[in-house]
Amino acid sequence: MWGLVVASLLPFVGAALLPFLSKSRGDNCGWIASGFIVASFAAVAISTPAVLHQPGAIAFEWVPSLGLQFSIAADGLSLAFAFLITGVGSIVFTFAAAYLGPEENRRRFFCYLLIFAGAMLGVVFAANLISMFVFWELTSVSSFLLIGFWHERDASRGGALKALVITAGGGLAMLVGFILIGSIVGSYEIADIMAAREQIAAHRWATAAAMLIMLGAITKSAQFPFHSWLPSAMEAPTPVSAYLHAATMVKAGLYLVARMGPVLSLIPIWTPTLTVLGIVTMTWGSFLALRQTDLKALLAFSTISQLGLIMAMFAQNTASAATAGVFHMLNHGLFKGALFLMVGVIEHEAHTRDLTKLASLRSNMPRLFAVLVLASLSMAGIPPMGGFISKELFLEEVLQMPWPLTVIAVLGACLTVGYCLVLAIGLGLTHQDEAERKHAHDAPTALLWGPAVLVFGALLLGLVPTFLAGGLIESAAAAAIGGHVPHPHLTMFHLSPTLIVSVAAISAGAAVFRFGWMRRTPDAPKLVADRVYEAWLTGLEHNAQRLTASYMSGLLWRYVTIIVCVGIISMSALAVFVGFDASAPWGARPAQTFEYVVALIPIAAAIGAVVAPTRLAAILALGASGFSLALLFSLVGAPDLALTQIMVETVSVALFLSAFVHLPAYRKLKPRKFQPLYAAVSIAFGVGVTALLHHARGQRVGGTIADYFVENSVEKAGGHNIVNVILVDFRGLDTLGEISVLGIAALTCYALIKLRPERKRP
Amino acid sequence: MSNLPVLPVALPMAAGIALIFLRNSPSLSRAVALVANLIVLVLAAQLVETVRIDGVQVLNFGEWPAPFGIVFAVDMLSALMVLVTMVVSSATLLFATVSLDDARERTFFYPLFQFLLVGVNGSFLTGDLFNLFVWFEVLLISSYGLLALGSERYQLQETFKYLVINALSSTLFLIGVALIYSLTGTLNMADIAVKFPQISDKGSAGAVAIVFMLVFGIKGALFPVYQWLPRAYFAPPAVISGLFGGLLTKVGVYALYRVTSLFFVGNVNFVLPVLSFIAGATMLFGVLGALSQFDMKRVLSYHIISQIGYMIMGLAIFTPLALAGGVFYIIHHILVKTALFLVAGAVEATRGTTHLKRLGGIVDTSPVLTGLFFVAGLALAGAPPLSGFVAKFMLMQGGLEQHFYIMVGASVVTGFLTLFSMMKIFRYAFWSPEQVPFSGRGGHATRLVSITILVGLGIVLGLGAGFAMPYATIAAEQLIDPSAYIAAVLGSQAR
Repeated sequence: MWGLVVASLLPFVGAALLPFLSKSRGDNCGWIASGFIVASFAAVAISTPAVLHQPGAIAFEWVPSLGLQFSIAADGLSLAFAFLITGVGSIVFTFAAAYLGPEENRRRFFCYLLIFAGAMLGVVFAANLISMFVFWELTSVSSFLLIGFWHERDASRGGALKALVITAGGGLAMLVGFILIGSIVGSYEIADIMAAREQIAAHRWATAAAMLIMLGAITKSAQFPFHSWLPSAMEAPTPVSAYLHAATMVKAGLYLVARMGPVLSLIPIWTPTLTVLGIVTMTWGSFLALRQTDLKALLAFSTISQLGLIMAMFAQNTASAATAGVFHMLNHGLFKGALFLMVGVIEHEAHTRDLTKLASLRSNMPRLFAVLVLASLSMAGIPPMGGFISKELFLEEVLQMPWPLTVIAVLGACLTVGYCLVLAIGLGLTHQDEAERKHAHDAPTALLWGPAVLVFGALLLGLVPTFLAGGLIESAAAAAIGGHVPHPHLTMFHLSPTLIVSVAAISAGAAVFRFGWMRRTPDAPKLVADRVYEAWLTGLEHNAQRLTASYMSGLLWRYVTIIVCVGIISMSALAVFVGFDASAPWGARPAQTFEYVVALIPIAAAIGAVVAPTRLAAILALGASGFSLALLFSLVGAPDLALTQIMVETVSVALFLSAFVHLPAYRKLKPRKFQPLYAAVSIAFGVGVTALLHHARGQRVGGTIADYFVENSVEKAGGHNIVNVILVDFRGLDTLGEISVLGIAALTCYALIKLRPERKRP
Repeated sequence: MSNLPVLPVALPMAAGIALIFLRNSPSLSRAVALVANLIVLVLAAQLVETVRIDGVQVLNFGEWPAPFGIVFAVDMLSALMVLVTMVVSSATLLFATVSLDDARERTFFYPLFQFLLVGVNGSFLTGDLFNLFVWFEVLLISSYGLLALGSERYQLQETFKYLVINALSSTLFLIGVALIYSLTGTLNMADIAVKFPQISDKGSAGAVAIVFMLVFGIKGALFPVYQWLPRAYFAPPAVISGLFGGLLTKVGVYALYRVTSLFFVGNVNFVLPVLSFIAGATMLFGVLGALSQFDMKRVLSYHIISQIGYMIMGLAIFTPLALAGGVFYIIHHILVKTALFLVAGAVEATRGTTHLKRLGGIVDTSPVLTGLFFVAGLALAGAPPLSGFVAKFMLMQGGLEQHFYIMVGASVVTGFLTLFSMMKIFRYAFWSPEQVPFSGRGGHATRLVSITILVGLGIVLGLGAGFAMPYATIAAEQLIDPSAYIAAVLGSQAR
C-alpha cells in the first residue's frame, strides 16, 4: 500500500521541486517531470501484485470529528486507472518535453501537469468520498490552468472557464450527493458505504443522491448534454488534450460510476438514465465528429462518443458489461492518446490541423501514417486491434438492450467507423498540391516514438489480451460490480451474432465515408449545447446587472426608506402573527396632561425642521426640539439631564450657525413638494417606536440594576450624585468609550480639513 | 480574575494615543503600530488558550459585581474573533506601511487604525449590551475617519451615506437597548439571558428580536439592508477596504450570533426560520450583485455580502455542527477576504486601477501575486482542501441533516457562482493580454509577504482543520448552551 502512497505523492513532490531543480530557462523541466511520473508508474507497477493479493487501506486523518480523512485503498479498478494515468502519463510527459519549445513557459506547464497527475491518482486511490472530491476538484482546477495555458488567446481563456464551470459545477452537485450518502451511512469511507448499500437504497434521499452524483460523473466525462466543454478544451496544448481530455481526466466520471455502481445501481433511476445518456452521447458524439474539419475537434467529439460507450457499459453493473467497459477504457486510453499526440505532431510539422488542408500523409509522413492507421483501426473496432474485441463485447451487451437503444448504438458504431476512415484514409491517401508537399516532411523520431508505443500497446491488447491484462480486467470489473467476475474470455476469433452486426456496422461505416453522406462543413453550426452555455453566460450577467441596478440606486434616502420600511413591515407582521399582550399596562405610570402638552413641542419643531425654507430656520427648529426635550426632562425629575441637554443644544446650535458662514449658498435644486409615502413612513416609524417603548415599560420583570446604584452609591462608591457615580464609577468604561468617540471625532475632523486631494494645477 | 481580557482594548488605545503624537515621523509610527499589534496578537492567542483550558473568562470593571457593573466576558467565540482580528489587522498594517501615501500616513491613519481595533475588540469582549453599543460607536467613528481619509470626492460622498445609515442603525440599537432595559431592567447580557425567557408577552420579546436583527443586519450587511456596503467599501484605498471588508461587517455578525444565542433562541420562535430565509437571500443577492460588476474591488465587496449569508446560515441551523461551521466560516472569511482585498490593493498600487477591462497580463508581470489570488479565490469559492471548503462542508452537512434543503441549495448555487466570479477576475485581470500599457513599476515584496501570510493561513486552516476544529466546536457548544457563560458572569459573584 505504501507504494501507492509514494506513487500519488511523487507528482506533487515533483511539482513542488520543479522550480528549484530546473535550469533557469526551464530546458530540462520536461525531463525532470517525466522522471517523476515514470517513477510513479514504477511504484504503481511494483505495488500491484501485493495490492491485488492483499488489499489494505491507509488513512491520514484530516478532520476526524467530521469523518474527513485522506484514506487510500486500491483494487483492480483503481489500478487499471492508475496504469492509464502513469503509463500514458509517462509517454505524454516525454512527448511534451520534446514538443514544447523554449519560447513556452515550460516550468509552469509541467508544474500544472504534475499536479494534475497527482490529483488524478488521488481520485482513483481515494477510499473516502470526501478525499475523492478534494482530488476531483483539483483535477478540474489543474485542467482549467492547462486549458488556459496559452492565456493570451481569447479562446483558451473561454474554453478554460467553460470547462471549469461545467466540471466544477457538476462536482459541487456531486459533493451534495456525497454528503447525503455520508449522512445516511454516518461515514464517508467507501468500504462502509458499500456495506450499507441496502440502507442507502431504501432511504428517501436515495434518488436525489444518485442524481446528484450522476451529475458529477456526466459533467466530468462530458456526457450529453454537458459535452460542450470538451471541444472547447481543445485550446489546450496537444499533450494536455491527449492526457487530460482523452486518456485520463474525462475518465474520472467513468471511474466514479464504476466505483459507486455497486451501491447506486440499487437505486432504480441509476442504470436506465446512465444507459440512455451513454448511448445517446455515443451516437451524437460520433455524428458530430464526422462533421468536423479540425482534427482536434474531430478527436474531441470522438472522445465524447467513446466515453458514452464506456459509460453505458459501466452503468449496467453486470459482469460482462463491466468487463467490456474496463477493456474498452484501456483500449481507448491507448489509441486516443496516440491519436492526439499524432495530431500534435501533424500540427507541429504541417502547421495546420485542418482536414481540408492536410493530405497525402502516406507519402509525406509514412511512419506517422502507419501509426495513425493502426490507431484508427483500433478506434473503429477492426481486427487485429484491441478495439475490435472490446467493441464486440460492447455490441454483445447492446443486443440485449431494448431495441431503440440497440438501433441507436449500432448507428453510433457505423458513424464511428466512418470518422475513423476519415482519419486514416482521408488524411493519408488523398492528393495534395505540389507546392505544399515540398515543405512537409516526416515526423521526427523524438515525437513519434510515444504514439508508436501507445499504438503498439493497443495492438498487443488485440493479440494477447488475456495474457496482458486479463487479471487486471477481471479484478477491475469485479470491483466495479462489487462481486465476482468470471475470468474474461477475450479473443479475436469468435463466431456470434455480434460478429454479423459488427461486419454490417463496418460496411455501413465504410459506405458513410465513401459516399460522404455526412458532409463535413468548415464552418459547422454552433453546438446547441454551446449556445445554451453562452445564453446562460450572457443572461446571467445581464440579469444580475438588471437586478442589482434595480435596488442599488446609490441614493441615500432610498436606502434609509428601505431600512425603515423593513422595520415597519416586520413589526406589523409581528403584531398580526404573534400579537402583543394588550392587557398589560402602558408605561410605568399614567402620563399627566402637561406632559402631553410639552411632548407636542418637539413634534411641532421636528415638522418645522422638515418644512423649513432655509438652513437657519431648520437649525432653529431643531434647537427648539432639543430645548423642549430639556424642558420635559426637568419636569419629570431629571434636572441634571435637562441641564446637559441644554448645554448640548446651545453648543450645537451655536456651532451650526458659526459654520454657516463658510457654506455655499443654499440652493433648491427642484421645488419641494409633499411626499405622502415618506410622510407616512416617518409617522409610522415615530408612532411605532413610541408605542413599543411605552408598551415594553409596562412589562418589566422584577427590579432593575438602578436599584443597586441607588443603594450603593453613597455607601460603596462614596458619591451623593448618583448620575455622576454611574458615569465615572459603576459604568465608567462606557464613559471612557464615549470620550474616546469624541476624541476620535476630533481627529477625523482635523484629517478632513487638513488632508485634501491635490487640486489639479493649470 | 485576570486582567488579560482588557488588554486587547487597552493596548491599542494606548498605542493609538501615542501615535497621535508621533504623526510627524511615519517610520516610528509604523514601528510602534506594528509592535503594538503583534503584542496584542500574542495576548489574543494566549486568551484563546486560556479560554480553552479554563473556560469563560470574566473581568468585572471596578470590581462592581455583575450584573450591576460592566463586565468583559470572553468565551471561545469572543477570543477567536479577537485573535483573528489581530491577525488580519497585523497583516493589513504591514501592507499599509508600504502602500499608503505619505499624506495619509501623516494624517492620523495609524491612530485611527488603532482606535478601530479598540472598538472591534471591545465589541467582541464585552458582556454588557450598552457597553457593546459604546464600542460600536468607537469603531464606527474610527471607520468614518478611515473611510474619508483623503477627502476625495467619491470617498466623502459614500462616507456620508455610510455615516447616516450607521447613525440610523445606532439609533435603532439604542431603541433596542431601551426596550430590553424596559422589559428586564438590566443591561448585562448574561443577566438578560436569564430574564429574557421570563418575558410573558411574546409580542414584546419578538419586537426586541426584530430590532436587533435589523440593527445587526444593517451593520453586518444582511438582506435586505446591505445597500450601503458596496460603494462605501469601494471608495477608500484598498488597504482600508481590506480591513473593513474582512473585519467590520463581521462585528455585526458576531453580535447577531451573541444576541440570538443568548436571548432569542429560548423565547422567540420565529428568529431562526427568519434568519434562514435571510441567509439564503443574502447569499443569492450578494453573489448576483458580484456578477453584475466589472471592477475587482466592487466584485469583492459584493462577495462580502454573499459570504455573510453563509455565516447566518450556520446561525439559522443552530446545531453544534452548523454553528461550528459558521464560526469556522467567519474566521476563514476574515482571513481570505482581507487577502483578496490586499491583492486588489497590490494591483491598484502597481497598475493604478482595479477595473477588470483595464487590467491584464498580471500573470506574466507578477506570477506570485497571481498565485496568491488564485488560491485565495478558490478558498473563497470553497474549493477543497482550503479553509472555505471545510466551513461550507460543515454548513451543508448541518443543513441537510436538519432538512434545510432550499438553503443548502442556495448555498451550493452561491458557491458555484462565486467560483465563476473569481475566475472571471482571474481571466480578465490576470490572464488576458495587457489592456493598458504597464508602467513597469514592480510590486513591493512586503505587500506579497502580508498577503502570503493570510493566504497561507487559509491553506493551513483548510489542511489543518483537524487542529482548528476543537476551537470552533467549543465556540459552538458555548453558543448552544450558554449556561457556562451565564454562570461565569453571574454565578461566581456574591449577589
